[in-house]
Amino acid sequence: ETTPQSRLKSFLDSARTLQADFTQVRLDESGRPRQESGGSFYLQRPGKFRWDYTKPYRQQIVSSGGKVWFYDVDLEQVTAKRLGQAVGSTPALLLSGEMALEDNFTIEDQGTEEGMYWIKLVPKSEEGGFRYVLIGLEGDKLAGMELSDNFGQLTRIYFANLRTGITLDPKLFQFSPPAGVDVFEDK
Amino acid sequence: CGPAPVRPGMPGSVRLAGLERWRLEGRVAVQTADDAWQASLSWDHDGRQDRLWISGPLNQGTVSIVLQDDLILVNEGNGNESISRDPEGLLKEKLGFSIPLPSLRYWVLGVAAPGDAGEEMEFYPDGRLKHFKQAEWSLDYERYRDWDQFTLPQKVSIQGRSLKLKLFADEWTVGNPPS
Repeated sequence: ETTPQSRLKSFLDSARTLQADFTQVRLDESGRPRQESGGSFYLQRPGKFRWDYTKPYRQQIVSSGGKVWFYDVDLEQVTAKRLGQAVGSTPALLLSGEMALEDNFTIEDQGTEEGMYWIKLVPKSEEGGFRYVLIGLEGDKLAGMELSDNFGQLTRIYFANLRTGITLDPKLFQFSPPAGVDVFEDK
Repeated sequence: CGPAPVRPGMPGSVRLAGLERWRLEGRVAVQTADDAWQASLSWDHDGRQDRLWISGPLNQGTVSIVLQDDLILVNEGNGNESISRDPEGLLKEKLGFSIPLPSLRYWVLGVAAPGDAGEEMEFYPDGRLKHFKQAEWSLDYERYRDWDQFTLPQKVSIQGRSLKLKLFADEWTVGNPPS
């Protein structure tokens, strides 16, 4: 009898490396999509992930070496925060195996919707800044995520063209700031 | 096509400054003496009220700000709200930097705030403001773009009080176009 924990575990075990296209949609209070963005997502467990936003603008969020690098191309600014302080990095950290899920989250079965089996993770500690994260699986493949912010506003992420167990170029997870941008790195 | 775009610095800029309603969707990069971060910004201006939403990556860490005259409300979610009659003080406490929002509301349009005049004004050949100083703040407009019949700043840097803000506008929506 499969439990949400076992479904989640089998997904995480099967996805040592993962690459997918993603679409991120922010919903307003009445559930209407307000902003949409997207790009490519890369994951290498443990500890490494990368969100490459390509539309509507170019941003990169790269985690490696215990820091999360945020780069906005138009703003020409890079900030690197230690894992603990990096707002917004927790959802991907969940997947990257940096956090022991059972210790930090209560894991609940959220049932099936949109053809995905959803697992709800509620942070045990308050200051995570988010109320819960939903992980949507198709079989044991990552298909979606849903995050609620501290206002209850939802952000949904849909993954497509998922490939796991492939070798990923290590340079994907080594962030070197381009010339001419302002760089601020947490020591 | 429609009427020639109204450009800051041109006679129409008074109309720009006097716009009753607009919405700005964009992003902001913040640099203070001891911190730096980037966030997305939504700003609704409606007559005397300004509503701003600032969100971090993956829309986490959202903060909402409502300003009307000298009353400011900062809401950090989870029932964590603060109200004050000292907008700059509360901004400093909640965001780690302070900036005069009533002036910023004009600067983002590419015009000087009413009151003390802007100094060192430099213009682009077609009349758009390129640089000016006002009070202790220095403004540099790097790029403009046309949205409907308005030419509005797409990228502006604002510096003052050991703070540097870079603002990039992804979308300007002007509520009531000139009659």
